[in-house]
Order: sequence, then structure tokens, then C-alpha cells
Amino acid sequence: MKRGTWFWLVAGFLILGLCGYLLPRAWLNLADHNAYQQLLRDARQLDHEINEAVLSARLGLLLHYDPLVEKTAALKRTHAALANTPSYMLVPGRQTLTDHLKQAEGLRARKAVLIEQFKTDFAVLRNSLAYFPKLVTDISHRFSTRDDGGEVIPLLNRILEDALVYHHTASPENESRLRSGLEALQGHLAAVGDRTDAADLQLVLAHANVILQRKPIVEALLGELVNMPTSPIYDAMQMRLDSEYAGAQSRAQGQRLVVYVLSMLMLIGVFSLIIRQFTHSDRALRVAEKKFRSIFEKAGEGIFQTTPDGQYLEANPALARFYGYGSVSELIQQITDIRGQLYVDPKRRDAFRRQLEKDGHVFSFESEIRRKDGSIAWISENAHAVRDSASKLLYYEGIVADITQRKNADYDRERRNQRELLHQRCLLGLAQFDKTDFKKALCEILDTTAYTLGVNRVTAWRLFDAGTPEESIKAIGTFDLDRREHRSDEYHFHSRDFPNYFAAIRRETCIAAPDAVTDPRMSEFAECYLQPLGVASTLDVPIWAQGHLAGVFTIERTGARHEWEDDEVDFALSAANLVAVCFETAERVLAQKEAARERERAEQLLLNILPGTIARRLQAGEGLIADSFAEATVLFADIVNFTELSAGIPPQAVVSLLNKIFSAFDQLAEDFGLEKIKTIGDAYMVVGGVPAPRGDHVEAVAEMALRMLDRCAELTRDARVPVNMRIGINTGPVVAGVIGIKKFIYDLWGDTVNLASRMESHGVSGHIQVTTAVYERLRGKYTFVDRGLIDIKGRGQQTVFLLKGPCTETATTTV
Amino acid sequence: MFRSSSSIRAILSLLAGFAALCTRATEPGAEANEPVRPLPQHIAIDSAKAKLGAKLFFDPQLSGDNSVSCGSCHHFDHGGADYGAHSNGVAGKVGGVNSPSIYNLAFDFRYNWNGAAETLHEHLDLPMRNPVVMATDFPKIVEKLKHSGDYPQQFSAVFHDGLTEQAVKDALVEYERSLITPDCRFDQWLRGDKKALNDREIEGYHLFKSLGCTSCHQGVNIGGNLFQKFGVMGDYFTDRGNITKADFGRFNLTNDERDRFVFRVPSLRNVAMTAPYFHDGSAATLPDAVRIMASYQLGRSISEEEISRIVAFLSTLTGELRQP
Repeated sequence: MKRGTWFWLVAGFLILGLCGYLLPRAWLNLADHNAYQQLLRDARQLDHEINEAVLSARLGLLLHYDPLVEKTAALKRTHAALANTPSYMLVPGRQTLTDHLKQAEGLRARKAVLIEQFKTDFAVLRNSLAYFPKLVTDISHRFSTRDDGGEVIPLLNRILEDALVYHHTASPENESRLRSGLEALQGHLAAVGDRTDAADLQLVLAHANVILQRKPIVEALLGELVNMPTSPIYDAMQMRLDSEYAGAQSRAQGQRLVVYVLSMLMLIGVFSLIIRQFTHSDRALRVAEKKFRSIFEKAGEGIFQTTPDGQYLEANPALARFYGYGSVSELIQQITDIRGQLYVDPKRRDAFRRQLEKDGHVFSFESEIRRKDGSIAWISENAHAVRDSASKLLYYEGIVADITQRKNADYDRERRNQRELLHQRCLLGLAQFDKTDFKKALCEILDTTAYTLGVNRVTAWRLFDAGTPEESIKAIGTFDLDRREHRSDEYHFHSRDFPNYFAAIRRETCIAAPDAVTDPRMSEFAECYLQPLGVASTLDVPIWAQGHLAGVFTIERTGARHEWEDDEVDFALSAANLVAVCFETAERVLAQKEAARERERAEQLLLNILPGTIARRLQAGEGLIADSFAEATVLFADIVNFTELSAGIPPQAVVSLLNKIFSAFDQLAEDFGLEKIKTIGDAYMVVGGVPAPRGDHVEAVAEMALRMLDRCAELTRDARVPVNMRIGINTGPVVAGVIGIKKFIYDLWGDTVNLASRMESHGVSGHIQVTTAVYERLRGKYTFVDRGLIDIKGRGQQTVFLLKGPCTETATTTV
Repeated sequence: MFRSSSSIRAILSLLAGFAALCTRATEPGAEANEPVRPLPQHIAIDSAKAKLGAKLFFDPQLSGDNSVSCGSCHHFDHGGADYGAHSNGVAGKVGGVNSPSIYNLAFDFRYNWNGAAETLHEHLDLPMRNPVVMATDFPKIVEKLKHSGDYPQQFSAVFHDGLTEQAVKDALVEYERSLITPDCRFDQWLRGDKKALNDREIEGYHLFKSLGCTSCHQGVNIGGNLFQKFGVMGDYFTDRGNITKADFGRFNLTNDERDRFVFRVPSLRNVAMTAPYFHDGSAATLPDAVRIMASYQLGRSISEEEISRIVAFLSTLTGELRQP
């Protein structure tokens, strides 16, 4: 052989060697890529979980810091692992990812510092918040026996209330309210001489100051923590990774093609040389041609020679197969116009020719073509123009690669991205929906899900009797996309009948069953539900509300089997989360209503024993009510010789008689607008001018006293023994208020009250005895009998009068 | 573009309250709503490494003058801590702080009273290089061990690269991690055995929670997972007097005024065994320690009866050491 032959052979082997070196490098390491992607997802998830853990610690849902510690450590490890970028990446991509990671790591480190501060400050705040109400109550209790209790206790209660309000809403107004309370307490502290009391009050100040100082710190830490812009960084990393991966993919594709073209050209060159070497020998020529043929025919890619006007000169079986023809000859015979018959868009052939005219070759020329059976495929052509020695164009020669799959993948990716964007928009829209209107919100979620995912039916199920043998799920709302309507089907499934399914919804975050009928988790429903309704694929997401399984969100497709994709699952998870929120909101609304009812009932109860205005003040949080009134009229009434009276008749009859009399008095008090204070055994106490001051309180009480005597006489007319009342009235300043914590009673105190009681006890049976103060107020309007000076126990001599009745037109006082 | 579903979920959960998601994060089971979690009964340990680590732990060659070992200050009959308030290092020098327990370190988030080390590996250098503790360093230790008995052979049998600084640290850390005390009576109670504690101990635990101790002492190690200032509600150090540099705690590392007197909250596991207490070893008995904590950390004065109940509860945290 000539030296040239050897040269070509050596060159050929060198090229083959180069291919062998290049190809594995171009190969994409998918495992590497997936692992990196998973790390990115983990990092994002951990970051998110850290936020959640901080927030739930703050809300008191998480009682220890272990998850925070574990997750921060895990995030640090994940970031360290992310430093190893996948091998297919080029330097700029690597650099960008590293830069992003550096940013993310900076944020993580900052976050770790903030979390430490949060744990420390929140522990202190939490302690003081938990202790403060107890502390204030204890100290108030201790002060209730002291002289200055009346001053300190309301102040303490105010500070407690202000502190709790401040913790709830740390606004500047609430802060200054709390501060002013604390200053007042500080002022009082100076006045308290007693050492133990001073220490008590100082403790209140200390804890209140902790709340005042740490609350804004904790809130600021929390704000900074959860608002750290971490996810945009992970997003950017993900995007960069995606684009690098796509780039590597097309690079690999390009490299493979170049290598293939080179090796083909080399082989053709080598064999044409060999052929030329052996032209003198027909046998040798035949052998060479046979070899060339076999390569040509066994090649995996399509090889062609076409004329400029669009006919095939030569094609290999691979090409015929790919284009859907039975044989090469069939292809050559049937395609006479490549431009119109093969290319979906005939202009591609024109472009192909133009480029070959201009450059002499085309690489990676991608077009859509129509196969024999009409199906569409994507091809990539590498071709060159073959010319004779006079540069006259003879034919085009090239190879065709099937890139349909890659093109579809591109299309799929594009479509998925668009779909995800749409999903996100829908979810954001839904999230802003008012969730207090439970029915409406649920309908909105159901039909948005059905329309967005294009599924036949979406149903929300509620779990009843959780954990009991009677546990079941009941459909509470369905949207049927085929009929475009909301339905409330009566489906009701018990856990005892569907044990696998109920176990699955407890165990898994999502049950995606492309083949529902055969899926072990779903198959229990085959006969009773799936088959009758023609359901092929199901996607069930358990709904967790407040830590408990609350129901299931199910998505169903009828007809052909459907493989659920990640974005669909994500959407379902998010929609189910929204349903959970609806459940929780509905429960909260119910609880609020229940609480309101409870409050009303308590209010009613309070009203029965306390004056309305006082009850309202108590409810508003006034712990201790003590109001002084400059003038009020107090009446005491007593049944004379009640003991003797009750000895003669059975106890039930006594109670019944008392009840009759006192009920009549209650009615009178209400008629005259007076406040009944209490009954003590057979005595009855009523006041005028309290709690609502009025000018005619003396008159009103006098009228009531007169009517009381009448009513008593009327009611006891049939009694075997005469029942007589003794009534005493006095007027003057009183203190009225509520004491006690459990058994509320509105009571009166003061000298006026004591003297009124004395008027009664020193009075005359069947008469109303009043003090001079009363007499002075009523003189001229009522008639009186002067009893003169009588000896009042503990008071000495007092002039008293008996009230007889109103003055008639002409009558004057009979003093 | 907004690609991730978890970021959507983040928005959703922020919008709508966190209850459903958050509770899923906690473990199911009897202890789910308690601030304290039981220790795992087993953790994965490479026992060959741990065995080598055990040998090193008690080997005085790890100190500069061959006088003390790790085991000199961490006594297994004393909850893994030292008997006295301060420990003796090389040449009888006295250390600055009370030696804490060596148990259950796998569940602590930082090491040393001031939290100087974030991992057990990082921590090892601190006592070794401390001139009043071991007064040496790992290169020196490795040199010594290379000429000591069959250490080289033993290391070669366990570690690919034989006797190296990394191998010595790995062995020590593996041994430290293996020293856990699971299944104390309180853990049994947490796991659902309601007879494991008597009424008084249960009352003590409820008191422990209601007084606010669990603000800091919570989680699997009942502490050991956060920093806190010693003297939140009162000035402990002024009251105690004689302030030393070690009392500044974390401030010595960060120079941040907020970190003055801040320490790693220690774990309360086996606390009944580890007297005296605090970084300064100033509380001789557990009731003393509880009293100081209540007053300076919680701002409360508690009765002797309450203290005795809490001590009864704390005594149920003593577990059995699982040696490798």
C-alpha cells in the first residue's frame, strides 16, 4: 500500500480515538444532576420548615426548640453539599451557582444568628407572659387586705390588661398605656413602706418590663427571619441549573453529531481510497463496495443523496424505515418532490438549499417532516453539496437524525412551565378568597381545581368520628366538570369497610393512583365507586387541620388512565391546604358563635343578680367596683315575728309565702325604678338613687314603702296569723359596689345603710319609720307622725318619724 | 419565574395560619404535646471506632504531662461530670469552670459553657489546647501514640489511613456520641408508661412546666439547645460577688455586650448525679440550684415544698449509661 493510505488509516484511528474520548465527556450524568436538584429542593424545604418552626414556636404550637436546631444544622450541611456543582456545568454556570450559594449561605448564617437570639429572647418573654397573670392575681389578693388595696389593685389589674393587650398588639398607643401604668406603679412603690409588699410590686415591674422590652425584639427577629429573601436565591439557582442542563443537553447532541459526521466522512474517505487503490481489480472493487454498502446499510442514522430538484438518488434502509417506507426503493420511487412531500413546511427545503448554496454544508438543520403514514416527526440534517471538478452541483449528501423525542421533551417542558404558572396564579387567587363563607369558598376551590387541572370530578370529604369504630368520610361538596355543576352526592364510606384506604390517608401526604382500580390503596372502592362512575385515575390528598386528619380532597379522571404529574400533585396539595384552612376557619367561626352564646348566657345570669350597668362594667373587665353616691335612700323591711309565724306552718308554706311577698316587692321595685339589693332571711333591702342617680329617690322609696305595706296586707289576708311588716328608711351618702370573685353581689355600705337598718329594727310593727333626713326631704309632700327622741343602739338619741302617707290637697303635716 | 411549589405553600401557610402544617412537624405518640422528648433508645455507632475512643478517653497520654485523661474530670459514677466545683488539669492546675457531664452530647447543639464549639470535632481542640486542662495538641498526641504500644496497629485495623489526627478525633467523637443514657423513668413515662412515675414526681413535672422552667429546659436533652443569660430577672453575679472572666460566658467569644453572662443552657439529664451545679459550681445541691434558677431566671420565689417536688421530678431524669 502507498504511504497516503497509511496516513489516512492512522488519521482515521486518531479521529476514532478522539471520538472515544469526547463521547463519554459529552454524556450527561443524570444521577449527578438529579442529586443536585434534590439538594436544592431540600435546602428550600428546610429553609421553609425553619420558618415554620420559628412561627409555630412563637404561636406556642411548638414547645421545644429541637426541630429548629436540627433543621438549621441540616440546612448548613445541605449548603455545604451544594458547593459540589454537577460535572456537566461550564465555568460561568458554576461561577453563578457558587455566587448564589454564597448569598444563600450568608443569609443562612445570619438566620442562624437570629434564631439563637430568638430562642433566647423568646424563652424569657414566654416565661414572663405565662407568669404575669398569676403574679398579678396573687399580689392583688395579698393587697386586698391592705388599706391601699383600693388604689393598688385596680392599677395592677390595669397593668395586667395593658400588658396582655400590648402582647397582642404591640402598637405605640398600647405601649404608652402600659408604660404610664408602670410609672404609676413605680410612683406608688415609693409610698409603700412595707418591705415584702415593695418586693412584690418590684416583681410586677420586672416582669412587665420584660414583656415591654422583649416583645418588640422577638417580633422584629421574627419579621426579619421569615422575610429573608431566600427562596428567590434558590429559584435563581434552580433556573440556572435548568438552563445549564438544557445547554449541556444540546451540547451533547451537537457533539455527538459532529463526531458522527467526522467518523462517517473518515470512513467514506478511507474506503474511497481503498476503492481507488483496488480499481484494477474487479474483485477487490466488489469487495470494497460490499463493505461500504454494509456500513451504509447498517448505519443507525438515515443517509441520503438527493438531487437539487428534490428526488432521492440514494438512501439507506434506516432512512426508509424512519420515513415509514417498506424499502429503500419504495422511498426512492414514491418521493419525487422532497420539498412538498416530505417537509411539513416546504419552505424548509428552500432554506436547506439556500444554505448549502451559500456555505456548502448544513449542520443540525432541524425541520418537521411527514412520514408515509402522515405522522409528523422532527429531523435534524447534516449535509453537504457534492460538486464535480468544474464546481457544478451534482447532488446533496447527508445524514438524518430523529430528534422527535427531544423536541417533544422541549415542548413538554415549555407546556409544564406554563401550566405551573397558571396553577400558581389560580392558587394565589384562591388564597385571597374570603374563607369565612365556608360553602362559597369550598365551591370556589373545587371548581377552580377541576377547571385548572381539567379533571372530571373534584370532591371534598369530611372525616367524622375520627379514631372510633364509626369513623367515616362523607362527601361535603363535589364539582362535576362534565356537567359543569356543583353537587352534593350522598357518598358516605366507613373506615371499617375501607381499611387500606383509611390507613393510606393517615400515612401518605398524597395518594396518586394512575390505575385506581388496581392500586392497593384505592382498590377497595373499585366496585362501589370507581367502576360505576368510570373513574380511571385518582389523586387523593388528606386534609390536615390543626394537626388532625379532617378529611380528604379527591380528584378523579374518567376515561383513559392518567399519569399524575408533579405540578398536578403540587396543585392538589396546595388546594387541599386551602380546604384545610376553610375547615379551620369554619370551626373558628362556629367556636366564636358558641363563645358569643356562652357570653350571652353568662350576661343573662349576671343581670339576674346585678344591676345591668354594673354587670356590663364587670364584663368589661373591671375587677373591683366601688362607687360612692352622695345621696341615696335605703329601705329595710322585715316581717315582724317571722320566727313565731314560721313555727306554726310547714316549712314549704313558709318559703312559698315569703316568695309570694318578696316577688311582689321585686315587682314594686321594678315599677318604681328602684334597685333591690338583697334579701336576708325574712328581711328585704332596696335602694333608690343607686346605681343610676335620680333626684326623687326619697319620694320613690317612700311610695314603695307605702305600697309594700298594702301589698303585704293583701297577700296575707288569708293567713291564719296576721303578718305585719316593719319598715325603716334613711337617706344619705353610700358606697355601692361589687365584692368577691365567684359569687358576685352588688352591695351597699356606709353609715346611711346602718342607720336605715336601725330605723327598721327600732321601728313599729305595721309602720314606716324614717330618720330626720328623710323627714326633711319629704316634708310638705307626705304626712308624718313625730315619735320624738328614741334611743338608737350605738347612736344615742335620735328624732324619728313615722311615714303615714301622701298629703291630700288640703291636709297639712300633723307634726 | 416562580417555579417552586414549596414557595407557594409558604405563601399559603403565611396567609392562612400555620396550625395544620406545624403540628405535622411534631412527632406522633404519647409525648407529642410535651415540651420534653424522650432520648432515642439507640443511635448508630461505629463500635470499633468507639472502642478505640474509649481507650483514648482514659489514656493520660492525651495530656501534655501524661498526668490526666478525659476520664479524670468526667466520672462515670457521677453522671459524667466532676466531683468538685472546679477540675484539676495538667500539673494540678485548676480549671476555670465546672466540668459538665459527658453524657448525651450527641443531642446538644453547642459545646463548652460558652458554646465555643459547634460540633464535637471542633470541641476536641479546646480542652486539648487549654493550658490548664490538657496543655497539648493533636499533632503532639498523634506523635506520642505512634510510639505507644499497639496503637498504630489498632488504628490501622479500624481506619483506612491508620493513626492520623483525624482518626484520633473520629475515635474520640464516636465514643463521646455513644455515651447516652436512654430509658430514664421520665422517658418511660413520656413513652406512655404512666406507672413509671409516682404522683409526687408527676406533680413536680407539672410544676416544672407551669413555673416556666421549660422556657429553656426543653427538647430531647431538656436544655442544651439554646443560649440564655444567667440572671435574666436579677443580677446573679453581683449578688454572688467575685466576678471572673469565665463568668462573662459567651461575651468572651463574641465581644457583643448582649452576650455578657450568656451561657449554653445545660441539659438536665442525669442532673441529680452531677452536683455541684452551674458553670461556677456554686450551687452545692440540687435544691440550691432550683432555688437560684427560680429566683434569677424566672423571677419567682418558690416554696420549699415546690422545690422538693421539682427535685423529685429531676431525679427521674437519671438514665442508665449505654456503653458501646
